[in-house]
Amino acid sequence: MAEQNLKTLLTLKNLNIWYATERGESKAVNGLDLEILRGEIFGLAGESGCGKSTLITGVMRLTKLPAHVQSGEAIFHASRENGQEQVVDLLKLDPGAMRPYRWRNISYIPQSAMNVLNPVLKVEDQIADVIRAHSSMSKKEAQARIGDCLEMVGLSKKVALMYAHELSGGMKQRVTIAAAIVLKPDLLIADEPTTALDVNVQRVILQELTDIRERLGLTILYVTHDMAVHAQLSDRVGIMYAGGIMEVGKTSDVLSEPLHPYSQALVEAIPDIGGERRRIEGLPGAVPSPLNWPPGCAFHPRCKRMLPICQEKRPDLRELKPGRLVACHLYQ
Amino acid sequence: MFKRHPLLKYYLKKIVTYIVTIWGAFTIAFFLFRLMPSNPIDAWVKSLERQYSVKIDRGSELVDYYKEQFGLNGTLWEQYVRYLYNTFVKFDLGPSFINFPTPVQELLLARLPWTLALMGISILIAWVLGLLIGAAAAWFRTSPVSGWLTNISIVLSQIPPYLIAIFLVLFLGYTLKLFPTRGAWDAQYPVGLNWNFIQSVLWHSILPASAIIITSLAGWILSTRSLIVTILGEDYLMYAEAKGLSPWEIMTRYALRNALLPQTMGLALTMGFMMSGQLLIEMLFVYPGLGELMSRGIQVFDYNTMMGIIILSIFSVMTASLIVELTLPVIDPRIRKEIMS
Ligand SMILES: Nc1ncnc2c1ncn2[C@@H]1O[C@H](COP(=O)(O)OP(=O)(O)OP(=O)(O)O)[C@@H](O)[C@H]1O
Ligand SMILES: [Mg+2]
Repeated sequence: MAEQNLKTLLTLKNLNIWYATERGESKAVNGLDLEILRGEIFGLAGESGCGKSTLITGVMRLTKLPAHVQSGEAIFHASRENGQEQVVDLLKLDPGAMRPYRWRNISYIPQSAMNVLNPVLKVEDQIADVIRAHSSMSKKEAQARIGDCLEMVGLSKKVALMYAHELSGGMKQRVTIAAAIVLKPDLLIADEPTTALDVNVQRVILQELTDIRERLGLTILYVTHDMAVHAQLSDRVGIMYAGGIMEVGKTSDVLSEPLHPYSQALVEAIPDIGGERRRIEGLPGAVPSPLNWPPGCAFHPRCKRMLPICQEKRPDLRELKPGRLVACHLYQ
Repeated sequence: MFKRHPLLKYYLKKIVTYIVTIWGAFTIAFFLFRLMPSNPIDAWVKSLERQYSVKIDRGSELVDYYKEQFGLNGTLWEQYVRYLYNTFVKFDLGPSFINFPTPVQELLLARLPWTLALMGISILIAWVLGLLIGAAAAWFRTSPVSGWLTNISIVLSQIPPYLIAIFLVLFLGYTLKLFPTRGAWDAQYPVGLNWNFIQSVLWHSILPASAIIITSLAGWILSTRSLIVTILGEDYLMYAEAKGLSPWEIMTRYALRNALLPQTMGLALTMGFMMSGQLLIEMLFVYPGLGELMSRGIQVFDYNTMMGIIILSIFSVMTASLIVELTLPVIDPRIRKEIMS
C-alpha cells in the first residue's frame, strides 16, 4: 500500500457521546479526534469499556438513548456514482438523510453475529434487501453477487438458501462479512467481529478480511482490544483510553516503539493472538469511571511518568513526527 | 421409518392426540350430564302434562317411548356406546327438546352461520386492527399517544366483555336509540339475498359486533405492542437499520413479520374458543346463534342440545389447535428444525 498519497476518508473532531444516567452524564466518548485514510485498515485498540462500540455506533448514527451525541463532527468523504466525492458531516444529517449513506458508503460487521440475522428470513433475502434498497441491480445480478460474496468469505453458495438457525457461529459471522462487502462500501466498520469465535476460525477470517481488502480496495475500521490481531491486520493503529485517542501511528511503529505510557503498558501485555483478555500489568489502580474522568489527562492516576501539568491540563493529540500522533505532556 | 421422518412422526402424534382428546372430552361431558341430579325425562313429561293438561303415568309406554327417543333406555354403558356411535358414525345427535323432534344437528346447522359470521368477522376485524394499532404503538413507543393508547387498552382489557356489551345496549341502544338491540334482522323483511334484508342484518350486527371488537381489540393491541417492542430491541433490528432499509420495510419485513407468527396462532385459537366464549353476548342481544340456543337449552335441561353444542365447541377448539400445530412447522423454519432434531 502506498500510504504517502492516501486521502482522508473520515475525520472525527472533538466527538463527545455520553450516556445519560441517574448519576449524571457518563462520558463514554470524550473529546475524541481521529482520522481514517482511504484504503487502509485502521485498527482501533483499547481495553474493554473504553468506548469503542459507543464510538462506532455514533459514527453510524445508530446511537440509542440513553446514549446521545453531545457534540462533535464526523466529516465523511463519500464516493458517488459519478466518481466524485461528496463531503458530509454524518452527525449533522437528519435521521432519514443518513439512509443513502448506509451500506453503500458505510457498512458494518457487528460485535456478535449470533442474533443479527432475522430468524424467519433466508440469508439471501437478508442480503438482497440491502441491495434492493441501495442499488439498481437486477434480481439475477443480486443473486450472483451474493453468491460471489459468500464464496469470498469461504462459504458455499448454498448458504444463501439457509436460515440463521442452520448456521454455526462462525458461519453467521462470515455471512455478516459477506453482507458487509456486497455493495463495496467506502468504509467497512468491524466491531470485534471475531471475539466470539475460536482461535482457528478467527485466524482464517482475519486472513480473508485482508484478502478482501486487497481485492475490493475497501477501507476497514477494525475494532478490537486484542493487540495481537492489530499486529497481524492493521496498517495503522489508534490507542483509545477513557473515551479519547492517546496515540496513533503505523502499527509496526507503535508496537515496536510505543510513546504514550498507556500504549507502552498495552504493548507489554500483548498475549498470543486470540489469547485471554489479560489485565494490563504494571498499571496501578483501576480504570476510572466515565461518570467522573480524572481532570487533566485521564490516564494520570495510573501513569508512572506523570508530570505536575498532567493533573491540570488535558494534552492535545499532536503530530510528533509525520504520521505519528500522541496525546501526552511528555512530548509537548 | 419414524427415525427418517421426524416430521411425519410429529404429524401422526398430533393427530392421535387430537382424536384421543376429543374422545376424552366427549366422554367426560357425557358422564357429567348423566350424573346431574335433574332427570330430563321427568322434566319432559312434566312439560307434556302442562301442555296438554293430562296426568301421565310414570311407568307407561309413552314414557318408555320418549326414553328410547332420547336415548335414555338401557344401562348407562349401553347409552354411552350408542351415543358415541350415533355421534361419530351417523353424525346424529338425537332429537332436541326445545324443538321436538327436530334433530339437534339441524338446529346447530341453522344457528352456526350466524355465530360464525358475527363472531368470525368481528374477531378478524379486531385482530387486524389490533395488529396495526399495536404495531404503531410499539413503533412510536416513546410518544405520549402510544402511552395513552397502552393505558386505555390495559383498562379496557380488564373490563369483562358482558359489561361492555351491557353498556352498549343501554347507552347506544335504549338511551340514544341509535341501533337495534335485539335479534339479527328486522322481521318485516323476507329472509334471503335481498338488499333490505342484508342491510337490516348489518344494521343489527353493529352493537354485538362492536361489543366483541372492543373487548378483544385491547388484548390484541397489548400483545402486539409488547411482542413488537421486544422485537425492536433485537440485534437483527438494529442491523436492519444499519443496512439502511426503509422504516416501512423494517417495520413490515422485520418487526411485523416476526410478530405475525405468534399472532396468527393466537387468532386461530381464538376462533376455536369463540363458540364457548361469546355465549353471553348472544344471549344479551338475542342473536340467533349457538350461544342463544345454548341458553334456551339450559332453561329446559335439553341435554341433547347442550351436549351437541358442547361437542361442537370441543371439536372446533381442538381442530383450531390441530391446524395451528400442523401449520407451525410449515411456516416457521425454527420450529421445523426443532422437530427435526
Ligand atoms: N446503556 C448504558 N448506560 C450507561 N453507560 C453505558 C451504557 N452502555 C455503555 N455504557 C458505558 O460506556 C462505556 C463504553 O462502553 P462501550 O460498549 O462503548 O465499550 P467498548 O470499548 O466497546 O467495550 P468492549 O470491548 O467490552 O466491547 C462503558 O464504560 C460503559 O460503562
Ligand atoms: Mg464493544
